[in-house]
Amino acid sequence: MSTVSEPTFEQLALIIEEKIGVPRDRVRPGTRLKDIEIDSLALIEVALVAEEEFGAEIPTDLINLDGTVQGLYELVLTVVNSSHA
Amino acid sequence: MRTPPPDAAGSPAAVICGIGAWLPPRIVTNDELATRLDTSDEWIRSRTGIRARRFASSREPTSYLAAEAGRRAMTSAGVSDVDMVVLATTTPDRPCPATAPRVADRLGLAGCPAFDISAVCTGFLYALAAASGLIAAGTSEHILVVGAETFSAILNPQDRSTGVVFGDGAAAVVLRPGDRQEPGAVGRIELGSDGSLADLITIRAGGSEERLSGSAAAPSDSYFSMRGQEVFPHAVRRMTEAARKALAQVGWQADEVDRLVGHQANLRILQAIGERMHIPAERLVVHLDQVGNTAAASIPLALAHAQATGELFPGARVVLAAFGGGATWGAAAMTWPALKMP
Repeated sequence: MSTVSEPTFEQLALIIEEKIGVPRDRVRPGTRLKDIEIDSLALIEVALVAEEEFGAEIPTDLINLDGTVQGLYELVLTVVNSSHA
Repeated sequence: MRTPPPDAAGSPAAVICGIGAWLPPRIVTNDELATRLDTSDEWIRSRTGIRARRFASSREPTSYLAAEAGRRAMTSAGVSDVDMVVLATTTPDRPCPATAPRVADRLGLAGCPAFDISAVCTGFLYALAAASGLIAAGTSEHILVVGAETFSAILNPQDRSTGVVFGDGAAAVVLRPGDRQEPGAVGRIELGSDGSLADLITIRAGGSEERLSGSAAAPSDSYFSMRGQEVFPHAVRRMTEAARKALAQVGWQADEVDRLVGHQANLRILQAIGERMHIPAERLVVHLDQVGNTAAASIPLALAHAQATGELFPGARVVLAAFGGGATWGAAAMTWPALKMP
């Protein structure tokens, strides 16, 4: 049974704020990644920070640069939940 | 943790006793590349941290760069002779024979055994590991370990992604037998590979898999190619994992590390590793801004650079880490010795 709590959207938004410098209030589920000027390497950097924090390796090749922050969050959630199952 | 072999206590360690470097004189700035590739200085700097790199001329094959660096390393070590040359390179003078004998020949080392190590950007660490074993076994006493590259010779002129990243150069160290507690002792090196990632960093054609004769390979197959975005996360994870193992091996905490000398592929990779390991940014040795990614030469060039600037000082606790084609990776922890540079 996993003792690690499920990652929250807020935690991911905070990682984006700290890593990319985008203010928290500009990061909403529907926000397109391209609209907050994340380049492809920055997305990978965010995913690498998230995997250290949440303890699961995130397949960066599945990150959709044309997607939204919610999409990124759902990827993180899926990976973390399946690794802790 | 593996225990050392029973006779390890009696075997000499390999100790770094000299260092030297050589860069081709031709400097290629980002602005120059922007005149023929669809890019800009700002894009290159923000994505990689690189400002300029060196390109060798056609009269400067890898053996030339390696010999220049080797000569300087031998002067630094105060030796006129070595009894083994180990060359880490991705860009040999020719696919056959190895380039190391040519380097020994250029250095006037008649009859000196010499061989190449092929592990792309991890090559120098693999070479140090091999050389350490030769010294421990008593096969050799003074070994010249060189990392040298002329990547400009294999880059696809139409590939912006590799064209702005890679550069040429060479650096070398001299190893001598010594005590494993001495500053400069190389110690055990953490190494690894994953052959399933061969396509990430490769030259496809010209070997037994995609032969030069017979069915025509795509022209781009003869050039170097790298899938940088896929490499990035692998590099951060493997370099961090290997560096952590190296630290555990010597019993250091991250805050005891004076310098992290990572393979100089991309500034953002180095920063991501520093953050994962909680090593402050000011302790990362950065050289890629001046020379780009020099593959197997990258770590020894960064060491030589840091030695010259004083970032590396006698007694400094240093961690080396690399990730490269193969895929391969490695890390080592050591205390830096007092060295003279010519």
